[in-house]
Amino acid sequence: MSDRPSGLQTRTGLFALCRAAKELNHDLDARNVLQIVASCAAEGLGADLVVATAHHTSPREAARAAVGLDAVTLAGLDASSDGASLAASLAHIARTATSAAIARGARTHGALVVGWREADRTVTDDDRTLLDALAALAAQALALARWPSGIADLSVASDALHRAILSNYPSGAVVVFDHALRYTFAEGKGLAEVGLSRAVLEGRTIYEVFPPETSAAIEGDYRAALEGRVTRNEITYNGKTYLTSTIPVRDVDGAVLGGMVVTHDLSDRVAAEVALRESEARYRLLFERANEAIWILEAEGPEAGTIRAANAASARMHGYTVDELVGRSITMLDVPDVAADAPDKIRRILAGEWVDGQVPHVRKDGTRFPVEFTAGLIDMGPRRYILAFSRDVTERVRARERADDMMRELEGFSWSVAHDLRAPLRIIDGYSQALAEDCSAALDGDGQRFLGYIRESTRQMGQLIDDLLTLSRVTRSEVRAEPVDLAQIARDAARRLAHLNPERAVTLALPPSIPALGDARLLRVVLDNLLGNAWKFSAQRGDARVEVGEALHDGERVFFVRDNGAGFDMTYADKLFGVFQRLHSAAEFDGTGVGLAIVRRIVRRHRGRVWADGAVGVGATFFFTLDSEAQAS
Amino acid sequence: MNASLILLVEDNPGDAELTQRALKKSNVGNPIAHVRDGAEALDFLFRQGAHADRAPADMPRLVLLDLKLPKVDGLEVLRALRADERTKLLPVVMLTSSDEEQDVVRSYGLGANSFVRKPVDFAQFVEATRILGLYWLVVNRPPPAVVG
Repeated sequence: MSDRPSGLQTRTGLFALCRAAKELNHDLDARNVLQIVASCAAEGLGADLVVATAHHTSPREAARAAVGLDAVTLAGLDASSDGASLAASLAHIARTATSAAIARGARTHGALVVGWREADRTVTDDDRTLLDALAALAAQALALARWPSGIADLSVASDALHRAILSNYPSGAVVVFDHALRYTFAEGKGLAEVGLSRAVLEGRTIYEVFPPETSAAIEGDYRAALEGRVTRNEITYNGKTYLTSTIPVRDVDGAVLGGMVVTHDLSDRVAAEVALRESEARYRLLFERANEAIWILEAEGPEAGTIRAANAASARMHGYTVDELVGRSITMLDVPDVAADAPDKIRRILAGEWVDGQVPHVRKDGTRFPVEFTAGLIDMGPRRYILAFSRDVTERVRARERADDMMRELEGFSWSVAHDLRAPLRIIDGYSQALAEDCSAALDGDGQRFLGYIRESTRQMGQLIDDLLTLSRVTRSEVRAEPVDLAQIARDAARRLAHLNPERAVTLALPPSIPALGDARLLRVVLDNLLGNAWKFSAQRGDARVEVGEALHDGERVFFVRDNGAGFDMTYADKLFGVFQRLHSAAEFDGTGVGLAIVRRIVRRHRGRVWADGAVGVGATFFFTLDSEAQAS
Repeated sequence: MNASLILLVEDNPGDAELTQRALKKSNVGNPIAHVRDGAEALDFLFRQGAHADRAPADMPRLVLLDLKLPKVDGLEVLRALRADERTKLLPVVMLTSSDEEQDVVRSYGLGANSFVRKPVDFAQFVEATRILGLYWLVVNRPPPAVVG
């Protein structure tokens, strides 16, 4: 087809053909050939876009050239496709298109596609003739043309690559090299970190850039990439760790155009991995060395209850090895038929609650021991497990039993005191009086007086026994938190006092109600004592006045009992609440010295404080608080 | 039932005499039978052992029962009385030195009619006895006689 085409009638077409013939000299590479042909086709046919592609089978290369097409679209075209396929893949920008095969004899080397944006552009015979002529010239020129090694194609696509690099490899570098191991592209902040730059690399071979030992070290990977294989290495350089991937860069046909090295700075990841390993080691140590048994159990499904992890303490506690425990069900440690509330506990754990409890467990040797546990649900990735901590509470249970024994002994002792100590006293008192009544004739004045001392002492001792019993009872009894009205309790106490001392006229001042939270029975003892004291110590005043009330001290509710009686010297204020501590002689005011000790013990058992304020001859005020949190809520 | 007999169950002779003295001083003139332990109390009430030949009509109007007794203690006596048809309605007053809450609770639990703690002060004891006698022997209507 070297003859001048006969049917060609347009001047433009003719000129274009002439230019092509003139420019397609023999010293061109395949890409130049295609560029000339494309350019002449655009000119001669008035086309909006032209694509010329060609491929070569040995070596396997491909080339493309285009007019009116951006580089990315061009790079996406398959150079081995025929014209019709290429035209179809450009249909979105060329509504009318036609093509010609670039062929020599029976062998097709490529395609020449022309396209117009108009949908109804008529492709004339003249157009066809020119297209075929250009395709024939191209085929002829390609037969003599050099085939470059893909650098051109890679550089055409470099904008796209550049973007990909910047967005995908911010913490490393990417270099591209050709078949001659020459760098054609280098980018990435990682280059500077290892003392390289784009200027140093681009256009130079690895032998030119690196000393022989380095180039020798990397050459193998580079050549492997050119042969289509991927190599990955983790290398440490300048104190940093990089993951390098040396990969082939292929064209759309899969032909290797060159190679690419992607390096990724792993230093942060490596540091994080080291930190993670250290942290894991620390926690593992904690887990393994803990004195508490730690368990991770399967939470749900058919294997619920299976031990997934157990530590040395778990194993030691139960007489097994860790290996004997892991993989088996936790129920093997249960005492049969004991864990009646287990389903309820498991339900609560699965509902997200942390549950405490005490259960008996069985050791490998069959012995039983009490275990206290805390268990809750944890998420580990997609699965949920039960994390449980448990401890052997044998010692604690024993200590509690000992304490219970002691308490029972104390109760027995108290009972004996109550019963056996009072009985003889009663008889002493009774017969002293019987003596005084029945044998008065035989007793002189002294005898009568002595009997009086005996009776007074027995009465005091009776009172003392009663007070000590109250004190011990306060220590033993449980403290309930119930709503109480301290004003009502005080009124009841005052009524009893008025009944016992009908000769006294005491003015009682108190609000209608003082609501509080506490143990009514014990608070009655408190107010009995405090009001009893107020009554007693104001006995020598004609205008005795006792006030009960509440106040706020620094935001805390404080209850008080105030009298205008004998008062006390503040020097001794700290002695008021000790057992058997008395600030007044029995001749002045009777009493056992136990009452305020009882008061303090009850108040303390309500997690409160008690203190007093007073002055001799002016009066005394006793303050107390009750568990402030309970009072506030 | 003997219209007025009081059975006093008390092991301490001094205490027993004192109680009788207090009853007398508070003008309770009823006859008083005194037994020294729980076993004798049961013999007396169920007419067995040493008391086998006591007349059935001699059932007391009131039992004053101490808690702490030799052989059979007060609570055991109470349990036995309440378990028997002949004595289950018999008024029983616990008369004791103790006022431990557990004793009070257990006594009422076993069917005691009243619980009185003997005060140390004899004058108070006499007063307590007076009120007791007045209530149980005068004010209170006794249960109908059950003759076993």
